[in-house]
Amino acid sequence: MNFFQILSEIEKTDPEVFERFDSRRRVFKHMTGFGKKMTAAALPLAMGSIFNKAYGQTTSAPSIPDVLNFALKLEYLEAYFYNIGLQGDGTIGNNTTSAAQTSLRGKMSAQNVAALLKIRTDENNHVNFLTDALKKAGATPITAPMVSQFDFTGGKGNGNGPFADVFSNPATFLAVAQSLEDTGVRAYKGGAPYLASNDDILTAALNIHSVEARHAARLRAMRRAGAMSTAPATVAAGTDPTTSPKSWISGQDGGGASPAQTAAIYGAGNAPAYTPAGITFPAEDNVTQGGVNLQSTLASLNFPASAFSEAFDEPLPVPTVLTIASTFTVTGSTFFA
Amino acid sequence: MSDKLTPFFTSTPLPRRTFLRAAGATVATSTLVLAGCSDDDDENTPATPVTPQLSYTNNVRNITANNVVFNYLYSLHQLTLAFYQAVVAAFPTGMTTAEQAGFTDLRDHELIYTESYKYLLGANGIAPLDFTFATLTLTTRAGVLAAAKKFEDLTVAAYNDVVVRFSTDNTGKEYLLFAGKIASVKARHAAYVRDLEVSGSFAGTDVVSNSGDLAGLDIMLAPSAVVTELVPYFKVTVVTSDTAALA
Repeated sequence: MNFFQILSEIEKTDPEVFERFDSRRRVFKHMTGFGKKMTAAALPLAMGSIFNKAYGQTTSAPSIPDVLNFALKLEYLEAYFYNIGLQGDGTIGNNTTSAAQTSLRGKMSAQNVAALLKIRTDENNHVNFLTDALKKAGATPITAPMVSQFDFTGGKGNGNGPFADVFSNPATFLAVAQSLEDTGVRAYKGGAPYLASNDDILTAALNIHSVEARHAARLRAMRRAGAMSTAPATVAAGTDPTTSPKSWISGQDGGGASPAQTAAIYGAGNAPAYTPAGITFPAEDNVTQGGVNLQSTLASLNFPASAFSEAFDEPLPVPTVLTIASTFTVTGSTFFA
Repeated sequence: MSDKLTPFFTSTPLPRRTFLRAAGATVATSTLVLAGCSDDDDENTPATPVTPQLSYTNNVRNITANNVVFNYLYSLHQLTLAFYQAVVAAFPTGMTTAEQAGFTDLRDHELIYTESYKYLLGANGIAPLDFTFATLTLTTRAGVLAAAKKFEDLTVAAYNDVVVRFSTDNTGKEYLLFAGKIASVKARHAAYVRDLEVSGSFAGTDVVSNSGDLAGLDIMLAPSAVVTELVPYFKVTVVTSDTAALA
């Protein structure tokens, strides 16, 4: 059997066959691995799994490109937010600095500014990574949205919403930042089951997911310690989780940084009909995992419900995340529709 | 052997001894999995101490890949729990009240993970393990933070690797989601302890690169690499090469 001959034959009818794999190089990498650990007899089976990865998507659930483009939209939202607030004109790769950005930075400690710039770098890199991943998968990434599609005050375009001072008051900036990052963590978790048929993409998505969680932890520390703090993690969380949160989500965190706008970020999601059996979207105060109430089952630990809720972050389904994210688009925008 | 999540949660009551160990009152005697021990024909060779081996298959016939992966994660949480219990039992000088509260949360979370995995795995689960932290400096804040950073980053890297090791059917997706719910909290832990050690290192370039093909992505490490990093703390020789699930 000549594997390369087979690929060549497929290429005649499907010119994108190589793109359906993650990349041409990746196919050869797979083949190298097979040579080392598989007998010739096992090769056909292994090849079957390769082709399943390339052609195996046949459900009404979101496709891999759908999920990647959904994630890319969220990353644009986050990247533009940090870009507008800290450096650049909003778009990816622009690094000009305005007087307003200098002013906002001046209201925070150097350590916190550096932390926010690292987060900004990561979010811009996430946009670039997902754009490349979609192209390598043979799919079309969404075009970069106009900056004017967004209103980070939550005013739907009037620039005077509930977060009116988001780019001049560091407390408001950090509150919105925490909300975006906590949303991102839940969104990737909700999208992951639909990426399970492609190992490389699933891995990449969840490796971005844990970076969003690192960001969220830092932003939460900055909120409880204040924008001028130099070592925010050293400060204890207060009694009000909306203003002084732990680095992890405790219960529903009282509805988050601005409950009237952010409660849904910590609430339950509405499971779409295509959701696989066994996957649910409870609120963040959930203490039931794998169908069993851990708090009562592990009652001997004598822990409060908050401890069980903190130990597990919960997923949100795609439609619920889109509704949350549309808080920050202008009226008439279809970006998160 | 069933591979469903739910039945294992409902099958096994929590042994009292486990609770005592978990609460730090005692160190339970481990019953180790003895796999691949020496043959009987070595009576002429000098007697050398035999380090017991730990297999994540737990010597269960036809154990599923999903459960092998969970055993691996379970062992990492056992290690991290033992570490935080040692810290909380005798906080080092220089650790503030706020930090002590944070580390108590970390200990509590690890206890919940450990007991959840134990419950979930039921008869498939490896036995409780003993660890040694003799090579760590737990009497100083700096020593504790350095060790906590290592354990948290390694666990994040382990979770980021195992996502493709579960089956791709709906059962595997349930395992994946369970692990994913913990993975992001572990990343929050890692960011927290890193920031305590060096403010601003929550996503340092040693874990989240700023450049290259994988810029913006977190670290991931294969089981064999994770286990190699943890050799000084296990009292058993951990084997990952005996199962395709971890290869």
